[in-house]
Amino acid sequence: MHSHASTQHSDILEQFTVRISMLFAAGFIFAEGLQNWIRGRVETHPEVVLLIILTYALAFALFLLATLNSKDVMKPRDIAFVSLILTTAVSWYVVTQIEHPGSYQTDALAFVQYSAILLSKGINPYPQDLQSALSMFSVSPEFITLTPTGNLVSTLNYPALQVIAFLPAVWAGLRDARIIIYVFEIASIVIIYLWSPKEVRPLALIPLFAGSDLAINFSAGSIADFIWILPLVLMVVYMDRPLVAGIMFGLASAVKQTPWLLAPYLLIWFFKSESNLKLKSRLERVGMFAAAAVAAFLIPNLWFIFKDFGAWYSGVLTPAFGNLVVLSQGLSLITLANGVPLPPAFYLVATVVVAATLIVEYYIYFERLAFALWAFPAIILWFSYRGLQNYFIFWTPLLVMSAVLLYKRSNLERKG
Amino acid sequence: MKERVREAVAFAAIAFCLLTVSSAFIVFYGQVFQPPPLLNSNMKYWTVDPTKNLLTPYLWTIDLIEGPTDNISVYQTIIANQPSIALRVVRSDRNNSQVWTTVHVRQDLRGQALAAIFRSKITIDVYPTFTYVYDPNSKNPENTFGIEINDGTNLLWYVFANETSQTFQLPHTRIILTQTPLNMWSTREIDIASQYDAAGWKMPESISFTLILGTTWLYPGNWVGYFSGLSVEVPPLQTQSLSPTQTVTVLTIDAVVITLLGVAMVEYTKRRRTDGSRKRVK
Repeated sequence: MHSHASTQHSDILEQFTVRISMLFAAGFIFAEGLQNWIRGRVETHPEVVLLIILTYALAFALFLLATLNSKDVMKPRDIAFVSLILTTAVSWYVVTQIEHPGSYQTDALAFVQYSAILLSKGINPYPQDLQSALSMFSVSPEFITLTPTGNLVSTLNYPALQVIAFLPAVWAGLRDARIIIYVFEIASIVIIYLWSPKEVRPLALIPLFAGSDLAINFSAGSIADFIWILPLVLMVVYMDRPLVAGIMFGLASAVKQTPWLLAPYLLIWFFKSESNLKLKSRLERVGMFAAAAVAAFLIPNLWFIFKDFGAWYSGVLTPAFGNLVVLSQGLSLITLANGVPLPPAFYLVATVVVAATLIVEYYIYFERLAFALWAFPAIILWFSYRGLQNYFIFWTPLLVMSAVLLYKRSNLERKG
Repeated sequence: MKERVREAVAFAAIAFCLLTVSSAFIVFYGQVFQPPPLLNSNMKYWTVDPTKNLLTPYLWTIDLIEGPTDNISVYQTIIANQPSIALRVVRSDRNNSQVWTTVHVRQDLRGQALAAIFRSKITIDVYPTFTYVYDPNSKNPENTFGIEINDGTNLLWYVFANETSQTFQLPHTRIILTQTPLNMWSTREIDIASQYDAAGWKMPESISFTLILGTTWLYPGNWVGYFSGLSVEVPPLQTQSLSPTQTVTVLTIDAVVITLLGVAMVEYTKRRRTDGSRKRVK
């Protein structure tokens, strides 16, 4: 009797979350519809007019479906998800093909694609001066990075897998490689959605589409962070298998330096997450994860390391250890806004000591903080003198997975 | 006991974090981060200057002072294995309306950038290809390859050529001839502030920092010189520091926060133990 009532209650709750997800998707579509109306140059692009009309129609359909007084509302339960993906595609098209056609909003993507072009011709991009990329991809001067000595950055500053990821675009002759980022983004979102238990999928969508920056603007605006997010998403999927998780972490680290920050917390995870195991087995898990990660990081970088170790080393470690001008939405904003006079050295000390404190706290309070590890890099980078918005918000997909893991665990405990 | 040690370590880590950040704040407070005074000093990313229909390094301006039959070019090239910017002047004949045929690649500085460059060490690699010629009586230059600092009233020239180093002080003009071997790269250092001091000039409100190459009508021909590796190192500027009272205030805040945190942790531990023993009794 009690079990029946409980099932009924959870059905009602699930129906409610599906309805809310439909309304949420409709709200997102309206917001994007307006943005596309503003940036879509509708007077000269009839296809944008058509797309806007269709997206609004979709939003109205979601309004009606969400409020339908029938259990049938559960049949198209995935419609919110499909609608959000479609809207993302429409907005991505408008931003990349209408608003900024053929022009990148970051110098980084220009350098990476240019490096991929060089690599396709057998040239090691690390020792090369990549300044031609800035004119080739019409990078706006406001997005050009300067060092504290006033020099303009014109070298490759990422590990090699990011360049390799863009090789298919080069081979396919694509002038605009932002499609690669989009493919990684959609793959990440689809995996998170399908991996989540059916009943919480509508809720899992909400943080991912809570703002346009994560869902559309940053990727369409040439920030390639979803390329390392995808292997980390797969890492969470295989978190119970240290070998696969290690490979995925190594691949993510071979794309960009940001995931490196996770390394100490992940080692603690693999040491402490299976507390019922003997010490030897736990150490083996840590060793397996670390070895797999190092191997997966090195393999894509190996050719470049052998070709010119010095160029690879300085290219990969320059952004990791600073040497760029202060620019931040983080704590250093207090200095940037001419308020508190503090040099980058202060922020470096704060960043290091916060990271170290989080390691200690994570180890000691692992039982409570185990699933919070994805928040740590964002918190650490907020203290750095170059704390940019994408350093914070791109951890959201992984935090969603943490929340889902906690849900799965609670469910197991309840059933067990 | 083990639990107590763990909690003590966790507490100590937070206290250490807070004290380290506060100490760094006390030590570093007042050191101003200044943006680089010269931007795109390595002169990359060339864009078209529509007013002159010229390819120009981003954020730099090129000025051409030339007669109708002269030819001037500024371009990127690699010379003696070093990427560089080349300044070339071809003065075709003596009979020309212009006395000088000159090319300037300049950036204008004022405010914070001006203050920064006056206390900076500027280094540049230069590759001169011709000797410096000047009027032996008036000491007025007849050609030049170097750097010009122009504040609208006074002119400071650093000339790089193979003659013995010497300084020429002319009315409103100071020329620092720096001996530099021809047809090879040499690194040279520039100290604008000390030369302004030596000339008895006041710090101006603005300057143009200019790479210059030119010749007068007396020396027609094909003149070229190369620059590379322009770098400005701005030392940290200590504008102010915390007074003893402010330092004590920061440390007092730390002490209060750490004490409150300690009390909260002790209370939390007590409550948890009480809850634990209640559960055991049940």
